[in-house]
Amino acid sequence: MKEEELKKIISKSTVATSDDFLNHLMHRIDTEKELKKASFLGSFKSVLIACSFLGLITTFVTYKFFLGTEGIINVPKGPIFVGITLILLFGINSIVKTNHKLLKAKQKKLMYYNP
Amino acid sequence: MDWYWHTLSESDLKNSPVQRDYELIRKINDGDASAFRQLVYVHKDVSLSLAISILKDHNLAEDVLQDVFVKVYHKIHTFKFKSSFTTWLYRIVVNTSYNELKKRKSTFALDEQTAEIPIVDKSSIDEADQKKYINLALERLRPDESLLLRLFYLSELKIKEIEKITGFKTSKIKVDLHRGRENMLFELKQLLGPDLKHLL
Repeated sequence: MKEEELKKIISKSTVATSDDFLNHLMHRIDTEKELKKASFLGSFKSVLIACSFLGLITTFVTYKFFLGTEGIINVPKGPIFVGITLILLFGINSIVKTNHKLLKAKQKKLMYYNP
Repeated sequence: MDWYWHTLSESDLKNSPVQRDYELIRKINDGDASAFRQLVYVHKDVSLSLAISILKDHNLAEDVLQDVFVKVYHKIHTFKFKSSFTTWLYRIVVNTSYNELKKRKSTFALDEQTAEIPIVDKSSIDEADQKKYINLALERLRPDESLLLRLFYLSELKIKEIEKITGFKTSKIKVDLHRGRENMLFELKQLLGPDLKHLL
């Protein structure tokens, strides 16, 4: 078989997508966009910023009024700082994990109802 | 289908396919959602054919193609206008399809699937039946062979472009194309016998 003939044959091998392919795709993209917007509040960056801000205030208040040299109780600053940091990181981790699980469940639900 | 031609401007239609794609991508980057729809519309069928070459399953290939276009939508801003959009797109199609094939191979053997042979009067094969036989023959080839045949003859790409898309070496592409041609002819003869001439 000549090359030109094979080319002619294979040029007929295009397979068409199903009728609702485009609509399904656009719907999926729209759904993902909505989920992305919804997940902003729970996104890692915003959680990290909010928790860091709260952590700083808590640490400042704790040192200033309770633990500092002029405070009510005199306790070494190092271990307290490490403890607060660990608790803070654990909190962020839990929030992000929970949020991720929730988002996955939401996405599954949406995909199930709008295939 | 009509809506598509109405939404493309006259200048889009006059341009070469590469320029038309560039124009659509610029519109997408400017926030025009309908331009993405047009871009998908133009490329979906050939992309699906390439995915089917690898996966040998229409439904699975459509699912993979959905993932591909979602990826394209999110990454389109990274397209650098240095190569044609098809090279970029087909690369994603080929990589995603091969990844899916690897995943699936661990759960079931795709090679064991047998496609249904259409029963038709071979002396009068219409265009739809011709398509069925051609696709069936391609389906019986190895994924690499059918992919390369489609890239070379259907998409009319050069060896260098195929190299970029598949990551295969030139020597492999040439050998597989040669084997693919021979195997394709063998499969078509098996399916159609002397009625093979009806395809031409």
